[in-house]
Amino acid sequence: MTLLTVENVTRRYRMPRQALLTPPTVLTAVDAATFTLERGETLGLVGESGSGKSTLARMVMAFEKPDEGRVLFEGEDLAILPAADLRALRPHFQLVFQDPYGSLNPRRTVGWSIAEPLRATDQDDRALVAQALEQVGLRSADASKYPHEFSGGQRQRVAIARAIVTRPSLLVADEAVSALDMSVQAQILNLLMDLQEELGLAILFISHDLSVVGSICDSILIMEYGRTVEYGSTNQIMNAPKQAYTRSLITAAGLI
Amino acid sequence: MIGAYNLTVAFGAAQALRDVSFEVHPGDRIGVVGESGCGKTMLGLAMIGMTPDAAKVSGSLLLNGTEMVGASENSWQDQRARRVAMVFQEPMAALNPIKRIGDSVMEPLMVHFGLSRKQARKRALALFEEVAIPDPEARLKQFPHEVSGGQRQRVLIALALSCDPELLIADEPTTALDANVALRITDLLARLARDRTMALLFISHDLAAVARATQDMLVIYGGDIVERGSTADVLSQPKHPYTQGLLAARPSPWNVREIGGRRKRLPTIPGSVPSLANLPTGCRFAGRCPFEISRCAAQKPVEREGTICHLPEAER
Repeated sequence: MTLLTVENVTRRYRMPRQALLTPPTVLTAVDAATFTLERGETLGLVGESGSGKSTLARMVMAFEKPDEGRVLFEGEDLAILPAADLRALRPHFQLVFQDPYGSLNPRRTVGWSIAEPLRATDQDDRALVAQALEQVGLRSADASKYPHEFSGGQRQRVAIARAIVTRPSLLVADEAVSALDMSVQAQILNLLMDLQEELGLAILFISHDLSVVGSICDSILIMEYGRTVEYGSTNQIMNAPKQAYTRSLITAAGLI
Repeated sequence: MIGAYNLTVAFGAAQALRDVSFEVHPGDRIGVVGESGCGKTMLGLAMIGMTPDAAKVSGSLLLNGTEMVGASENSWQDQRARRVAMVFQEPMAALNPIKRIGDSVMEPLMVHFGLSRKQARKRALALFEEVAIPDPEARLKQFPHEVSGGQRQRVLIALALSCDPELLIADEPTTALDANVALRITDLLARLARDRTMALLFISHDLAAVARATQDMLVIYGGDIVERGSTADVLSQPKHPYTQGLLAARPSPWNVREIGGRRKRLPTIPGSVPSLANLPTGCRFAGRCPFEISRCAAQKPVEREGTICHLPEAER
């Protein structure tokens, strides 16, 4: 079965009224997005700020419901799943944010933060935390340290450890390497490739940087103003882009 | 001509910049490349006399013959804007949010040149045209939040140009912008430097932008200039092991899977940039360098042929 199916997903937001008695304008943040993602594969979601890529990620994570269309995870429609069933399914899809400093509690040990998704399903287990730390290239003893004791790249490793501790089949990485320095970015990209091969992870990789996306993704979906500009294999998008907008992104990334 | 000679910025025993020397001539476009925490922003701030109070600046910084190391804030204010001006990374933070854009741009013109409001307005419009802001009349009346990030950055560039500086320092001017907008701002800065024969110090971590905008570049690591040369040479034949590692670690967008489904890993530099408190005393790259020999950590290498490294070129 296909791991993740996104079918004609549309999300609209009502904008504030511009004047009394005028109907509020409606912003279509995501307009009929459609894609599939298989186990062990990586899909890149590329667009500039305001393109709707994060909104789409929020719907894949079931933080938000689509106005139209369906998000199917292992065949289950996340929007109509009862709350208890959704909670039971959550360990199977996890999110890594851009800023690990903002997403880790500074007053708790990283071991506590990594165990958070385990506690949510009552399976707090130190052995799992230690294993996750080692899988991301840290030491199991690091569990007792606090976020400020780590460098930026190590903190992102901690955030990835938290995401994989529940053995998910899907990882959503929202600009997960954008805040990192160049020399550290390559380390984290390699880590994601390692984890993908070891654990058979599917990755939804959201980024504004086409050269990063091209280095790790099997296929790419390009978004602009909520609409899908182009969707195809990395090879096709990078070597034979059909749309002028895609070509402009390739130029802007300094790839031509 | 503007020159830095053995310029050092220290916080106690920690040197954020160590013996940095370079000269800037009219029309030079120089890229400054490095990772965060390596000292590239500190270099920009030292060039414009805005280092934090706790910093001790030593060495020499000559702005057209005037020694600026140890200069008073008053003499810096004379030099700033006319000799050197700076564009910062975050255009929203650099503009007063409760002032109309026009007032922000006109104020320095009235203060520095004693222009009347009417003259200052005329000059502001000319500057907006020079930086290609569409509908400049309307922009003058708007507030910063009403214009896009790219337009705000253009306003700041116009502001920095208002006193016709000899050197414009742009510190990560495109980092907060979308790729297409960033490209246009990069091109704008390069064009302004050419049109005005103004020097440009383009500080960025983005190698593609530096390649596009500059003729020469400095690579900075741990407060040292580890490599310098023409941008084309440094990017095509990097000499310092750090520059080599940095260029190799760039993600390749054509990284297709090999047979068996494996994907090629990127070459990496082990570890991360050392913090100011943990800088090695010798070569700053010691501890991360693949070619390290015994004297690297203890002894500072001397510069030869555009790079500082203990090893002869053939062994790197």
